[in-house]
Amino acid sequence: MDKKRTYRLALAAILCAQALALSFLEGLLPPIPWLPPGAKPGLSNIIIMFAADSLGLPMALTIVLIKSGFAFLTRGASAALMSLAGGVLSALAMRLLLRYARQTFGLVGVSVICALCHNFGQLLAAAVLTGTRQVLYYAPMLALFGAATGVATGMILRAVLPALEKQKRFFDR
Amino acid sequence: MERKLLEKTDLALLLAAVLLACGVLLWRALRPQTRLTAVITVNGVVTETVALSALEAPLTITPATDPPLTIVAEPGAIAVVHAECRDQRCVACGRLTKPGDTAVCLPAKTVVTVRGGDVDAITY
Amino acid sequence: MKKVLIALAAVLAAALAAVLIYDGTAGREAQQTFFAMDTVCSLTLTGRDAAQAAAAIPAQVTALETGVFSRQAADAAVARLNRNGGGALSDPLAQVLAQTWELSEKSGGALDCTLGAVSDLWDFGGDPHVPDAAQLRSALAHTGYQKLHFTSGGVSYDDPAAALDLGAVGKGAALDAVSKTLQGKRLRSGIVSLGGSILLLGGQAFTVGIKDPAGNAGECLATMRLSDCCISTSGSYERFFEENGERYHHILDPKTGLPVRNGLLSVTIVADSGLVSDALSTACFVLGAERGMVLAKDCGCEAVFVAENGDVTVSDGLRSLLTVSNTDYRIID
Repeated sequence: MDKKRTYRLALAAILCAQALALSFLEGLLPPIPWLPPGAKPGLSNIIIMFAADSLGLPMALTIVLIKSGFAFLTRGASAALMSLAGGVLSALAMRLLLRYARQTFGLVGVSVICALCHNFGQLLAAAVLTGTRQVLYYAPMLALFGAATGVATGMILRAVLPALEKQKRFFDR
Repeated sequence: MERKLLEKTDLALLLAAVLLACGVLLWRALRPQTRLTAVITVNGVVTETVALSALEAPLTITPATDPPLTIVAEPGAIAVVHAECRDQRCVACGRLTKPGDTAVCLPAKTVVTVRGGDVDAITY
Repeated sequence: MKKVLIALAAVLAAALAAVLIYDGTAGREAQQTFFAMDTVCSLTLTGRDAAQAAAAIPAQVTALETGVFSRQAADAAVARLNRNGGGALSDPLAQVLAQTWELSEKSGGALDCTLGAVSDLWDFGGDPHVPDAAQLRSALAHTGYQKLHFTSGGVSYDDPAAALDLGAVGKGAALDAVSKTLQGKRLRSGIVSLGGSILLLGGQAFTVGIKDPAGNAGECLATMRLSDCCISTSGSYERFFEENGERYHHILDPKTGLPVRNGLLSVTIVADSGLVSDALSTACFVLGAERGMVLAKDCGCEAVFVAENGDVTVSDGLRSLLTVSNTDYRIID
């Protein structure tokens, strides 16, 4: 029993490292014009989605928290808050979708919803941080961007799913 | 994690998201643009005019009045945010956003008015 | 399913690209306010090149003033012509002068670009006063657009004391120059105002107000929906002084050398060219509502005449585009 918990923890740690690596890679991208600074494709959502599904919401939220801690260390407090708001919202959405709409959406649909929630969370955080509602001006642009990146991450998730499953099985023994 | 890549609902969802976003963008582009200008008058003299529609970031204005006022202009709106007087009526006016909206501070003899909207240029 | 997905991705990408491209040209707005030609100038441009184009305009207008149209600046082309009693002409002055001369003739002398000696006496730009009658008579002898003769590539004055004065067309000519500069720039729309003479660009309809002569700055007596044109107004309220209880304004009748008194407050002309609108607003003011309207129609322009008694006369083409917003004024037929 204890052994299983240890395995789960080890899997979580690996997923967390992978999420961090992906978000670090994303950070190397230049800012995208017409989008608010900080808007990213959200590749690490792939990992968070997988974690929410295989390890449950608490573990997924832990990864989100660690990820925003990483953002705090590398990019400062406001980036951390935006990352946290986006991550929490998208992890929650993921969990709700898994519980109540298991058969309704495919991987693309789920990841689009997660991307939209992620972007919306970031936007809300930015609105709170700057104290202006003006940043909500970006909302429609971000929604288009989120829909596009959601489709992309959904397809990537499908492609790397076998590898992720294999990795999980390795820790399930 | 066993799931199909794409369900019909996914397509509906995507379509809805894209249509909604494009709709908002389109509405925003087609909406008649009103050019708002805020005029600040102290003692009957215009001390400051701010093109509100052209602002990109909030702008804090402190006209030389007694008692002092703090006025913040932002894209599309202007407000007296702080007044060192007792009645605080101009602060209570809140954000001025429409042509004709006015905040008056009697102790400081200051009037903040939003003008324009309907006229783009005046020939004289 | 795969095909559907690809099609969807394509649609999505196309929508995103369209929005980004649209936003790239539309989203940028640049504004400038500057002083030139003795007045406040302002411009608002939108489009991809807005900022860069707007930044260049103030210098261009100032250069036109000090290098070409000014009578005071020693290096200005007009000042040089006046000093030498003529000389070689180069663009843009050659074109401006030819057009102005033509309009002077068309208006039967109601517009006269050689009124320099007379306007010097009134000195509206400096210390305005009523000139002595004898002085005015002798100054009038040195005016008349017929005294200019165009030679190949130049102009000569029949009367060396005659002085070219492009005050009535300077702002309009500058608008034409600005309009030329902005052609070919990636702009969506633009409004340029040089002291109340306005240039509209980009096919978008703007609301242009005609200033209420009795009101404060910013108050209008009527508004017009216009696009892609130039608008100029000449008004007796714009520059004036009072002496011995009498009011003297700056629009002078070339025949008498005195301010025009014909019951008009202002004339607004809408034309394709800035120079034409500027020149005609002065000429039509001098001619009065009736003959002025004939001249405007002759030149293919639209006109609004505002009289001191509140009567507003509007040319047929403007009737449906103009709304009177002040109850002190009414449109008459």
